[in-house]
Amino acid sequence: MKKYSVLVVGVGGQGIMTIGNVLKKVGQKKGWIVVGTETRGASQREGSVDSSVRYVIFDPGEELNERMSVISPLVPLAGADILMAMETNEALRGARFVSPKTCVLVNLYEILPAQAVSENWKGATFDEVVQIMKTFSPDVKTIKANEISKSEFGDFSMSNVIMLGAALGTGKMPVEINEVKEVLEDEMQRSATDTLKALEIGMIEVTKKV
Amino acid sequence: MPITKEILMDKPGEKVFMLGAEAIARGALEAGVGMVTTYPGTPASEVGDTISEIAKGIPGLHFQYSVNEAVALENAIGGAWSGVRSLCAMKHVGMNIAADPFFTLCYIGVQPGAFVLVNGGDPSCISSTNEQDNRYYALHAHTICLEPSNSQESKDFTLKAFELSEKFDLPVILNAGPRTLHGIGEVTLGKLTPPKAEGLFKKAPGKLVSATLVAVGNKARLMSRIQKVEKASGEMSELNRIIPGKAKTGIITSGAAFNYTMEASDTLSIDDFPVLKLGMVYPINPELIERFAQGLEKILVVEELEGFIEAEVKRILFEKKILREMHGKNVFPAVSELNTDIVIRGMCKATGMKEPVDYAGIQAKYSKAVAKALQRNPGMCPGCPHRATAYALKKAAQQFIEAERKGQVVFGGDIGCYATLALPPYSMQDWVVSMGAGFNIAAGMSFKVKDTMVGLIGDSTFLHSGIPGLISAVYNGANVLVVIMDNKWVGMTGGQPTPATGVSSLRDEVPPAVSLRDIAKACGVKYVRSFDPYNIRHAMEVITEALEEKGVRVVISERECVLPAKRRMEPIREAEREKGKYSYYAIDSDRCTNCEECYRRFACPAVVRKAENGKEFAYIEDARCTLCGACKEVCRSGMAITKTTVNPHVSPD
Repeated sequence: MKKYSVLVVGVGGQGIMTIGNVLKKVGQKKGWIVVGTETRGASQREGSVDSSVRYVIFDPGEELNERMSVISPLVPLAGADILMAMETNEALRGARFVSPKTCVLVNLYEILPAQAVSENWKGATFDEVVQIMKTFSPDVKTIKANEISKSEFGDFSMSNVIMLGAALGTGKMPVEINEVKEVLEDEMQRSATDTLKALEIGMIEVTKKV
Repeated sequence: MPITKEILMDKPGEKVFMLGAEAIARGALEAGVGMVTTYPGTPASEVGDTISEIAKGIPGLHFQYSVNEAVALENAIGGAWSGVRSLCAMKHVGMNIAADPFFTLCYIGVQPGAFVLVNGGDPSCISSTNEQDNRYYALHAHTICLEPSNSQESKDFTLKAFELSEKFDLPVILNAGPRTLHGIGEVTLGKLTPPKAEGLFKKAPGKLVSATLVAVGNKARLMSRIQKVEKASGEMSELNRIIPGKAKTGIITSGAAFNYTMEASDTLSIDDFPVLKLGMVYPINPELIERFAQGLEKILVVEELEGFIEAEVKRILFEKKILREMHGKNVFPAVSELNTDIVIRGMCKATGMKEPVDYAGIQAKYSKAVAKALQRNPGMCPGCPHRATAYALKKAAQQFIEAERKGQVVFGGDIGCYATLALPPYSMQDWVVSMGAGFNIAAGMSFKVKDTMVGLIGDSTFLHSGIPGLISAVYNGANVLVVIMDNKWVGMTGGQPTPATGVSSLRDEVPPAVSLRDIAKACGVKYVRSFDPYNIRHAMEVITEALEEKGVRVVISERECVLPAKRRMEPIREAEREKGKYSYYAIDSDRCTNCEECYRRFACPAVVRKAENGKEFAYIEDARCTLCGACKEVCRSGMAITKTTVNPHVSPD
């Protein structure tokens, strides 16, 4: 038996909840114990949003020990196995959940808070964000999910699926692409063809960088 | 997104994902609940909202959004006393409003029905004005309090709560914080039970008329009922259970803290501490504690917020003359919610173990990283009518003070989305305390200071607890301007209807919307005016005149919350766009002087600063714009912002 924690962070409207829901359902289909929680209420107000998915993974027939299998929906400090950051400022805010063993996946895309625009605040550059994240874990991968979504599908709406594909492409996730595809087909509003294409693009893109 | 299908699924044994709040709703349906009442409040809103989605489809189930928690609780007592299983949901501070009927309900009892009170706690004040620990209501009023740890228990404990309530003639508090109510986990469904459609009320003045001798008798009967529960709870293993272990240190815990404790123990490689998990945190069976303490040298109590269980356990052990080394709030903080890391640190302090993670190191490194991240404050939505009201009010107040050349305008703030007006650039909530306290504190202060007093209050908050204060202010001759920000919905908690909305979740016919103007007049207010906040210039005129008046004045800002308005308008706009017809606001960069009024002081997130060819100007992001037009009113050049409507069906001239 082992535990695996996913933390997805970003800004309201980026499809964070969808990634979380898909991963929870994949875990449920596999028969694992799945818990999670999310920021509720901020999504329509352009606030920071996060979704945690935590698996307790065990083999069929393995005896479950309550002392090991009870987990909280919150990811502990330095306790994420993978951090998926849909936005660069949110990646920095998620850094406290990163340990040297965490796989960090950053979407190089910034959403400026309204106040930052009006007050002319300047955030960290993408390079700085990556450098800072590397001080937490050597395993930092980047992807331009929004850029790819725009060029392949005309808008940003597939960015989250591309990101999910990239997470699978890291090879660090305990789930397989086919298992994700099955659940995704029910969850997404776009046509299945587009969704599966986005997932595969994400997978390929992230492996290119290794 | 409501999970209506799963909530109504009549497949016992099926496993589905549910929020804790949804699982409570499901548990109530499995228990055959016949009446559900609520006033929305985070994190308990989803309990009522889930029932609201499905209530029409269940014959015999009555659901309602009541105007406040006391009314909701009293309405549900009506259900219980007619023999119906009734549930009432509210947030922790709402319980203060409902406390008056709640206490006497405990004295009297709930039979022949049953009564479950869902109490949404908020440690860390994620969405509240304080983090009070409502388990003390159970202690204080001598009734039962259960604390589930996850979604499955949320459902199971709801069923158990109805059973206990019915059996022991007591209302049962189901206490849970956001990690339980908003946590997601798998729930194994049970069988749905149809509600009792018709109740039966039998008069019982010797019990129900709780005054003088009846009340004293009721108190004595209450004490005997809670003692029976205390005795019986020693055998309720589905609520209270011991995970055995051989170590000399044991842990007592409950609710969300149980999850943190188990995870912390695993992280610290502790596999032999006996753990007593309390599902019923009040009353606590003394023999259970005695049994658990046997053979132990040290006891740790891990619980969120106050040392409630700790004090009870200490009292029990004292009475049993059992002396143990105890750790509770000396190592686990009473402030904010717990998490696995906090519990690990507390356990290390209590046991002398070494911390497995370099917390100080992580924190130091994290502080440096997060300093580079741009702050993302919660704010009002693009097109929010509250922003326009606040802008008009702030401007009018500034001009009023400049003209008067004395004093200041004081803004009494209240509970709702408009509480974010406390943040820059508005900074115009001089206090936020409790529902209705905004203008009531201002009214009181008006007798002692010469400043101009203004109170802000939303429509739902006004109906919830503004009316008595308004009557009192008029009667006592206070000097306050009450600005009612009427957006027709309870915006902050997800857009529930109020009596001023003109819709009902259960009934097909539309009840007439109450008129806030008529209410203000009936309270005795002579000066009642209203305006549409999107028309900022007119709003300023109305507010300026009201500021100059004396006595109690009410001005009502009338404009629907932009979220439901947008949801309704979106399909219509979409259909029009497909026909090539659409409207948009745009800023003429040549006419824009970049005075920053629209995006910096008015601060609509749909308007941004843009730079092109070395010139800075304001720019409207069409995807975020709701076409409210308020920015046009704040434009200093007066001409830069225009609305354009493209209509292929109308010739250009």
